[in-house]
Amino acid sequence: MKVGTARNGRPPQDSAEARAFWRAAAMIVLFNGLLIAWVLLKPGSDRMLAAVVNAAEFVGPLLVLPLCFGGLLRRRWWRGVSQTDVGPAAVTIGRRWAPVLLGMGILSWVLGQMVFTYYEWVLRQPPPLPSLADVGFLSVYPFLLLGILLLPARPVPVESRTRIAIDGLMIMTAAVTFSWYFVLGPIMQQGTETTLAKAVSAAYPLGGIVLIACLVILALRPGEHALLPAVRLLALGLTLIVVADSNFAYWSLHDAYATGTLLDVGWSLGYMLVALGTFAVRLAPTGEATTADEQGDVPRAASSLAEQRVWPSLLAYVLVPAVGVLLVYAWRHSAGSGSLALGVYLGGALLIGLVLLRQVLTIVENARLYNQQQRTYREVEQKEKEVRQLNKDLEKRVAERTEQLKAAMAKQQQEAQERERIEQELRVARLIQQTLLPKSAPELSGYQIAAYYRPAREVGGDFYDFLELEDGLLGLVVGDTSGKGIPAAMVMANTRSVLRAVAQGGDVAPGQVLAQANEILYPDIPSNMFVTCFYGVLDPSSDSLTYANAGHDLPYLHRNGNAEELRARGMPLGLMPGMSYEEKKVVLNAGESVLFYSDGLVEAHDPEGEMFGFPRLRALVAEHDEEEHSLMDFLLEELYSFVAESWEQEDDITLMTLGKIGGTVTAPRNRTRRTLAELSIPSEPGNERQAMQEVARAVSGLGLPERTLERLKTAVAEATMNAMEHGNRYDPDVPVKIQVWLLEESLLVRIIDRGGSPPPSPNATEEPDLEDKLEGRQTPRGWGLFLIKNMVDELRVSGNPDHHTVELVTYLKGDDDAG
Amino acid sequence: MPAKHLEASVRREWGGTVLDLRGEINGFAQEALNAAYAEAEATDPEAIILNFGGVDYIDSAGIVLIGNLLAKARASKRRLLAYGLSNHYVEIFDITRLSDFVSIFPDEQSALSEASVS
Repeated sequence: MKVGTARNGRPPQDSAEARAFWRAAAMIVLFNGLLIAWVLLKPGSDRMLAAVVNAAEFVGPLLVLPLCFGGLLRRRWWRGVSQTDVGPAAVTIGRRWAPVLLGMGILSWVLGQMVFTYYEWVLRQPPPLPSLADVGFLSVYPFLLLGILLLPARPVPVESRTRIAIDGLMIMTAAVTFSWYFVLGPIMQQGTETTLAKAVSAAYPLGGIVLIACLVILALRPGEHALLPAVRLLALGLTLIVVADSNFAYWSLHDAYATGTLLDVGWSLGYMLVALGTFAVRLAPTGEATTADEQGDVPRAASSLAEQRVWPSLLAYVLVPAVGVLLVYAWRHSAGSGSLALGVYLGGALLIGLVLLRQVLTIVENARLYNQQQRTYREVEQKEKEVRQLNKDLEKRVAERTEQLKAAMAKQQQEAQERERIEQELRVARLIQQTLLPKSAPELSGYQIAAYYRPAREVGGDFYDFLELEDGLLGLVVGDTSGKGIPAAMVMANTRSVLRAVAQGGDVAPGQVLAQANEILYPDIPSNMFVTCFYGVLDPSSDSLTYANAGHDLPYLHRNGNAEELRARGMPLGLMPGMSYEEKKVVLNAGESVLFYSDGLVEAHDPEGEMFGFPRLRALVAEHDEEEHSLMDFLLEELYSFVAESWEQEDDITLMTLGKIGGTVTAPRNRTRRTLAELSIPSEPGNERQAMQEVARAVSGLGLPERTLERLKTAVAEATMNAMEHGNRYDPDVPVKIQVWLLEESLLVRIIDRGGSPPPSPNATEEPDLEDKLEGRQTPRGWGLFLIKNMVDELRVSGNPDHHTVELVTYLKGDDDAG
Repeated sequence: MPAKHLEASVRREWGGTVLDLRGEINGFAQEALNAAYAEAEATDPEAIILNFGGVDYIDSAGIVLIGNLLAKARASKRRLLAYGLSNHYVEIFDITRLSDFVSIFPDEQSALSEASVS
C-alpha cells in the first residue's frame, strides 16, 4: 500500500500488494455473490442447500485466511520489527500481532463451522450443546477482541482516552441491557438444559456484545488515515457477523432457525471481509499509520479531529433514549418485578451514572481546554504586540535609512553638480588656453616648423608661441607655468601677452625680452608660482638662432648625428626682480633641427613606472633620421610606444621643432625622396584592390621586375586591407592614406590609418603555421601580416594615438636576391 | 574598383573532379567556393582538382578559404590538386606551405594524370 493512497483513506492502489488486495476483494464479491444466488434460487433439495451453505461458510473464510497469515511466511516477521518500522513499540507489536490474532479468530470460526457441517451433513443431526463446534465458534470472540485491541493506534491524551472509555462503556451498557432483556435473560431462564449448556448458550449473545465492543473501539479510535481502509473493512465485516449472530440467537430462541437463508451469507461475507481488513492492516504503511497527522496534511488532520469530536461522541447518547424506552417497556410488561426487568433497571441506572460521569468529565475537559485556549490567546496577543513593536521599529529604521539615503543622494547630486561646474570651468579654461596657442606653425622658406600640444586632463600651464618680428625675424617661445588648473592657465595667458608685448614692442634681443618680461610679471605672479620660458629669435637670412632661457628645459639641436643642448643661463620668470638672462647664438645648417619641448614629454612614465627621461630624449634626437620621419613624428611615435595604451597623461606635452631644410647638405637627400603618389582610399571592403592598382600605376615608370611588382601589389593590398579593417573599422569617412616615395635606393610605400590602439609589431605576432591551422591549434586567419613581411624587403610599423603607419620598403637594387 | 566576384563550376573528368575558378578569391568568395566544393564532393571523388587559371587575385582571406577546403579534403581523406596558378601565387602557396598539402601542376592534363595514377 502506498502512503499516498493510505493518507487519502482509500483502499490500496498500484504495486503488487495492491493488486493482491483487489484480487482478494473481487474473489470475495464473486464467492458471496454466487452463494447469495444459490440461496435465493435454491437449486436442489433443502439438504443440498444446507450442505452447500454450511460448506460455503467455512470454505469462503478458509480461502481468504492466507491474507491474515501471509506475514508469518516472511523471515523478518520472526526477526522482529522491520527497518521501516518506526514509532512506539506498542504500535509495531500491534502491527505484527493484530493480523495474526484476527486470523486466529477466523480460523476458529472455520474449525467450528467444519464440525457443525460434519454433524449436520454427515451425521444428519444437529450438533449437541455443547460441542466442539461451540468451542470453535466461541473462540472467535476473544481472538477478534484481542486483534482489534492490538490494532496500531495513535497515542491520545489521558482525558481523551477516559472519555473514549466512558463512551464505550455507555454503548456496552445499553447493548448488554437490551441483550439481557431479549436474549441473554430468556436463555438463562430456560430450564430444560444443563448449566454448561446454559452457559454456552449465554456465551453467544455475550460474544455478540464483545463484537459490538470491537465495533465501538473501531468507531472511537482517533482518526488515522493510513488504517482507515482497514478499519472500515473490519467494521463492516464485524457488523455483518454481529447481525448474523444476533439474528441466529433470536431465531434459535424461538426455534425458527434453519440453515440456508441469507443470514448464513452474513457469516461468510463477514469473516471474509474481516480477513480483507486484516490484509489492509498489513499493507498499511509502517510508522506513518500512527503519525500521519503529526507529519503534515494539516487540513485532513483537522477534518479528522472534527469527526472524532462530533459523531463518535453522539453515538454513545443515541442508545440512551432507546434504553429509556426499554425501561418503560419492561416496567409495564414485567409489572416492575422479575429478573429481566431488574436487569434493565440496573442497566438504566448504570447508564445514567455513566452519562453524568461523562458530563462531569466533559465539563472538566472543557474547562481545561478553555484555560489552555486562554493561555494560547494571551500568548498570541503578546506575540502580536511584539510583532507590532518590531514592525514599528522596522518602519522607524526604514524611515531613518530612507532619510539618510535621501540626504546622501542630495549630497551626491550636489557634489556631482559641483564637479560638473568645475569641469565646465576647466573646459572653458582649457578652451581659453588653447585659443591663445597658435593655430598653425608659420611657413618659412628653407625651414620646417612644427608644433604639437596635447593638454593633460587637468589644465596645465604649457604654452608656445611664434612671434613675427621686424626684419623678417621669427620669435619662438616655449614655456611652462608652475602649478596646474585655472591659476596656471591665467599666469600662462598673462605671460604670453607680456612676452608678445615686450618682444614686438621694440627690443628683439631674447635676453632683454626675458628680463623685461620678468620685471613686468614679477609683481603679478603669485609668490609660489613662476614661469620657465625659452625664447629664441630666428634670423632666416643668416640661419642664426639667438636665444635666452628662463630656467626652461634645454632644447636639443640635432647636428651631425648628435644632440647638442642649447644652454643659456637664466632664472624662471616671476621669481625675483632684476634678473638678467644670458644670450647665445647658434647657426643652423641644412638638415639640422632644434627640438623645444616641455617637461610633460620627459616626465611621461611607462606602465612599470620608468620615466621617459632626458637621456632617452637626447638619444632619440641624435639618432633621428629626417629622411625617414620628421623629428616630430619620430618622437611622438617613440613616446606612444613607450607609454601604454591606457596611459593617463600626467602633464601637458608641448613639442616644437625647427628644422633647416635645403642647402648643400640636405639638397642631395631631398632630391632622392620623390613623391610618386599621395592616395586617399575610402575604407570600404574591396578597396584594397584600388590601392593596389593605384600604387602599381604610380611605380609603373620605375621598370620594376614583374615579380617585384606582384609582391609589392600583394603587400600593399594586404596592408591597406588591415588599415581599413583594424585601423579605420571600415568607416568610409575615414580614408586610408597612402604615400609612395621613391628614395635613393628603395621604394617606400607608407600606409596610414586612424589607429586607436598600438599597432601590432611585425615580430610580436605569432608566425602562422598551416599545419597548426589545419589541426585547429591556430585560428584560420592571421595570414595578412605574414604575407606582407614576406612580400617586401623591410616592414616597419609605428603609431601613436592619432594614427598608425605601416611602411613597406622595397629595395631597388639587387632585386634578384630579394625575398 | 568593383571587385570581380568568384565564379565556380564543377566538371567530372577521368581521374578526378575539376573545380574551375574564375575571378577573385577573397572574403567575398566564401559562399561560391564552399558551394562548388560541396558539389564536387557529392560524387565522393578520390581527388578534387582546383583550376586557378581564371583567378587573378587571391588575398589573405582567400588563403584562409583555400585552407578551409584543404581541411575538408583531409577530413574526408580526399586529395586536393591545383593547376593554373601564376608564378606569384605559386610563390604564395610556397610561402604559406599550402603547396606542401596541395599538389600544384602546370596544366590540367598533368593534374588529372597524377590524380588517376593514385
